[in-house]
Amino acid sequence: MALLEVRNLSKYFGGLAAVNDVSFDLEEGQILSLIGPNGAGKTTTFNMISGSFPATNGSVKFNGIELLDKKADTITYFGIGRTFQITAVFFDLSVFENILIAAHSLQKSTIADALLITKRYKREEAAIRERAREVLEFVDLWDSRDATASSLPYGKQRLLEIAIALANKPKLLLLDEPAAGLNPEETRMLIELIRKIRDSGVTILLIEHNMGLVMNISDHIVVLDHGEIIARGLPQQISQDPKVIEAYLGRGDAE
Amino acid sequence: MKRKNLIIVALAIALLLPAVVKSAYYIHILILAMMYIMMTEGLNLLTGYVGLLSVGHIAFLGIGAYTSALISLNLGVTPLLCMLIAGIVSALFSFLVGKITLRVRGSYFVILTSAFSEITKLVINNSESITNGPMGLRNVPSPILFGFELHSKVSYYYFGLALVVLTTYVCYRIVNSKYGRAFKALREQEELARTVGIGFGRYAMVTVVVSGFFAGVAGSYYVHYTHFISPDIFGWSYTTTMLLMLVIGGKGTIIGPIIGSLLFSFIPELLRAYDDFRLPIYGLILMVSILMMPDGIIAPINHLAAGIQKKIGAPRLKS
Repeated sequence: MALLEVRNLSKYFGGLAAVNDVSFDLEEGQILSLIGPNGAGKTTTFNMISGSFPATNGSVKFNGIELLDKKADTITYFGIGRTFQITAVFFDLSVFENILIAAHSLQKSTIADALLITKRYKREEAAIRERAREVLEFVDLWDSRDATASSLPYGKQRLLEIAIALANKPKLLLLDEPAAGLNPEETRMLIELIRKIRDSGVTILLIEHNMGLVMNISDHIVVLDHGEIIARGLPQQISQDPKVIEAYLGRGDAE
Repeated sequence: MKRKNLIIVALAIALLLPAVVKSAYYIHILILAMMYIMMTEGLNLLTGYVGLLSVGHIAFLGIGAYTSALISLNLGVTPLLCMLIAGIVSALFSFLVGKITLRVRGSYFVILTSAFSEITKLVINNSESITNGPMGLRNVPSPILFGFELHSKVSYYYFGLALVVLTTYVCYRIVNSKYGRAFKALREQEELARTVGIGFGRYAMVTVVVSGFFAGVAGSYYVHYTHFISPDIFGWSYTTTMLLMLVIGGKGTIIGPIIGSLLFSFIPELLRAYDDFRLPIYGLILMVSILMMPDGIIAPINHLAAGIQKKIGAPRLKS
């Protein structure tokens, strides 16, 4: 059984099919990239998987559990982390505090624990601080831990975003255009980081426009166009596929 | 460590105050200020930390006050127990109201909370057989603590002080726990907060219920002090006063509501000397302080403290 099984996933806005009958499997420990021209339905697919908005029909099974009926604020408890296309971090808070918040779902203590400062509360507080250090060292942001997120350079904000998604020790990481706006050097480092995340045992679903990055790290690629899958396969196959080239570059006889 | 000293000094002043302030009138003002602190600290969780402006908070004070008055008068329940029950009943009501109001945001939330407050007022005003309508309830007994009736103003002052310390401690613990972090997260980036498992409804509800509880306790505290309650308590002036205390004291901080409550309990009294000019001066103070200190009076105080620390070369106090 694949870690993530997407079956016949569809989203209609009125009569318009933003995503139509999309099915794919993501095996544990792999990196699957979802690519396609703008408006192909990639982010819509992402948002349905992460519960940000409801699907019209289909099914998304994670570890055999149906995700489509889950709310966005519960998917983290199943072991899923995600980032957003437009950088989303807690800008006014320190880098460290960003991760403490992100590790929220690792804490089971209640308000009574907080009031009475119980052993469990202290243990959990210590544990998430330790976790925050771990994550920040992992993405190489530990030295910036006291900086306000908004004061970080853009490249580091993107790293922080990934660190936020990693804080609750997810099994599956959804990355929505992590390389957008990065310079070549930062992109190269991002590729290394994504590999490192995969090697640490996290399965990754990636949306990306940077073909260099996609071809470099993907185990599998699924190509969407107009909400439908037009090709799927290994990176070498995709880069040769005439349908993919056509979707990206248009047909020779187009106006 | 520095902050600890500050708290000890503030508590010592509060404890010794009745020995210095002999005027029963000022003690009376302080007793009412305690009620405002309990109210604004709770409201602060909702308005200051989560960012929801409730203008119906006074309703929970009223519900607490009436609950306490009714069960002590009719059932003879001892006032201290009444206070706890008042808190629980108010918390229960705020939970139910929260279930409805938390579905909307912004101005819609403001409208719904104000509507709830008006409805509560009307219900109490018109349920004459139970609440005695506009005539109000009289002869509400004083609380008895360890066999000692809290009838004198000074004893009630200490009673209020104890409640304020408790309220402040609870709020402090909440905002400095994962809950406080969750509130910040929701205020900053709600969508991201959701993806890390912080749903708006659940956490906003925590503040609604906790603030409702303290409002109920404050209402009970009030009614067992004045021995009288009428629907006048639901007046707009109380709501605006509370919001001013919160905003000008400094919302989103623990100390702000305390400073604001004390300030706006005394300023109107001090202005009585100017008679006709009282209200214009009051309005002017409000306008100037909101223009000059949008983050509340706590901001320049913190700034000043940091400056002094720097000058004397002491390690900087983390705010």
